[in-house]
Amino acid sequence: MPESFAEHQERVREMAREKYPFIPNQIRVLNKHSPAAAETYIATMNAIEDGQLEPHEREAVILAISRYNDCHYCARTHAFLGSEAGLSKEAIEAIHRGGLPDEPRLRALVQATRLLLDKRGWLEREEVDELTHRSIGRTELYEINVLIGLKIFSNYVNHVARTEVDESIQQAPNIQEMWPVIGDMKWQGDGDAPATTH
Amino acid sequence: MPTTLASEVERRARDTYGVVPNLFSALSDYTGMPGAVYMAADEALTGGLLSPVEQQAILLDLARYYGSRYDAVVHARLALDAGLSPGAIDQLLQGELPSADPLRALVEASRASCEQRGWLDAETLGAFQSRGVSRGKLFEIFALIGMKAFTGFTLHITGVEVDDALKPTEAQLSTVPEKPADVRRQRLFIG
Repeated sequence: MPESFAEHQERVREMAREKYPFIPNQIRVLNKHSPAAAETYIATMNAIEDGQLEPHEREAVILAISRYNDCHYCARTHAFLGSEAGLSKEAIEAIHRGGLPDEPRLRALVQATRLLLDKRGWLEREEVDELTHRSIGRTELYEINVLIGLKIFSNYVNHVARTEVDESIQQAPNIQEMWPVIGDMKWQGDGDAPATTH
Repeated sequence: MPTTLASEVERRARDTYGVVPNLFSALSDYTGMPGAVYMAADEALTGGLLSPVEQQAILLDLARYYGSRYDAVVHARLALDAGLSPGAIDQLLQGELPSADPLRALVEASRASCEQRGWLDAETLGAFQSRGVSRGKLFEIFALIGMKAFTGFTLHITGVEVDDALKPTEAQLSTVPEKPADVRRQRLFIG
């Protein structure tokens, strides 16, 4: 017998309990309306952990994408996850402000991410070569593209749902310390595509 | 030489799709993660609210939006298998909307989401809802937009050839997306 909507929702809740210390608001929002969408998010976020990018590099890329898309929920949640993965407060705040981290590889990863977003993936050969020269090869570019896709998905969900940042994230000491910077996001909803992320 | 994960992904692709798509093969020497993500999403969304026809119509329009020839051909084949007519597929690849709701509304919602980067206001959301685009379907559309951004951007870099098995499908299409003549960097950051 095919799985019912309610059974699917319960299976997703189980997946979420296995992956997270609590069920994040974003998963609750997704699961309420489409357990398949919630399952997609959890399953794909599990799969990215097998990639070649180090966890703190992945979080730097995700932060850059989420800030690019002005996602209030992901920018704060991944500031927390980035900090837990070893990103410095300075690096997180720099990315949030639209600047660059000091560390050369993180700097190159964030620049590559913004270039891919700005050009919707249409990189010229010279641009690929230049990034390769800075140790951002095809492995990194392909994995960044995956993260761009997954964050487009979650960022747009959070725009529409206006998902509240989870209380435990918002109250975490490292997030509180960064709040003067990462709390500074103007809500860009109501149908106006932002011309700038500042 | 394929990474260990890529070899595993290729094996699973062969079991699931009957073939290793050229896109996966092109990535295998670098990373298996994109293939693993693609297959995880594909499997999860199969159990979603969007029907196969609805999914493929949206994916075709996204292939056009992102200028991805490879994706257009893949989804043309899958759309035919799902029951979309060759005429309807050509219309979507030419940028025309399906003639009737709810399919028309779903494709419109996908386009509006891409163009407004997900910032749909309450009025727009309500209008789509009344035309059959429930919140759950919209969330699944966002997943499809993300997946086609990922494959489209990657295909632009790899320049992967259409799989041999899909060449007859490609030959039947009157329009396939091409690289835009003028690719500009729309710069939002100083970094």
